[in-house]
Amino acid sequence: MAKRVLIVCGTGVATSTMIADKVRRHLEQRGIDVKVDQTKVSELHRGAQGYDLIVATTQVPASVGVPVVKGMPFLTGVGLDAALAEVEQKLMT
Amino acid sequence: MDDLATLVSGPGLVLLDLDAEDWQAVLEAGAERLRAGGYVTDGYAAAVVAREREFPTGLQTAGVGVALPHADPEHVRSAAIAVVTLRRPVRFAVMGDPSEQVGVGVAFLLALADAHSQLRALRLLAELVSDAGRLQRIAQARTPADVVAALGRQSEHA
Repeated sequence: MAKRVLIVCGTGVATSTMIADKVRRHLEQRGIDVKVDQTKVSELHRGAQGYDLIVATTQVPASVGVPVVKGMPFLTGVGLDAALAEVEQKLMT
Repeated sequence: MDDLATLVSGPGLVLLDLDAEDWQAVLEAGAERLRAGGYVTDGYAAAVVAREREFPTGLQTAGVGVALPHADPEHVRSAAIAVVTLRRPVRFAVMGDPSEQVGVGVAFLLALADAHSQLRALRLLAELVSDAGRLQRIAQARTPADVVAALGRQSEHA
């Protein structure tokens, strides 16, 4: 069954669109089947039920109850390997 | 395809070697180019500054620091990107880590009507941000045509 990942950015969907594709491609290259959705942080008050992981380019309240990985390495490439390892580790536990 | 280059091709959208005091000055200069070209409403400048304050867009890439300021689509009349290169690095707060700062050499002010119609341009922009070589070419560009050419070039890496 595909893992569900939510990409979260500050406003609009420009930043999350930029990284959603990269996140999906990188995970599929690692053999992880994912469904990727996007939202902005102001929408998170409804919670993030059903998601296995959040990748965020903004700070996310801990109350959301889903593991969070910082999304900036997917944009810049800096720290990308560590971010991917963290995503895999959090998705597979 | 040249979607990214096309968005920057309108007259006046590339502002080179700006000597700016602070990040607000960078955003105001870029926003004015977008407003003068008819791409955004009068409210865009204030909106992009307010957004940057709340959700900063500074990024430390493998090369030159960049910023990706943008505002909600309600301020956008037609899609464009203003590119501002800076004579000396200007401090921006870091995306997702607002207590951190980065010295920015190139700012890309995004005026995008909605993400879905600009999907390809956003993906190309994401590739650009991880390409230190192309970012360096943009930072050191001497003419707007240099910048447009660098944006139109696909990365050599897959």
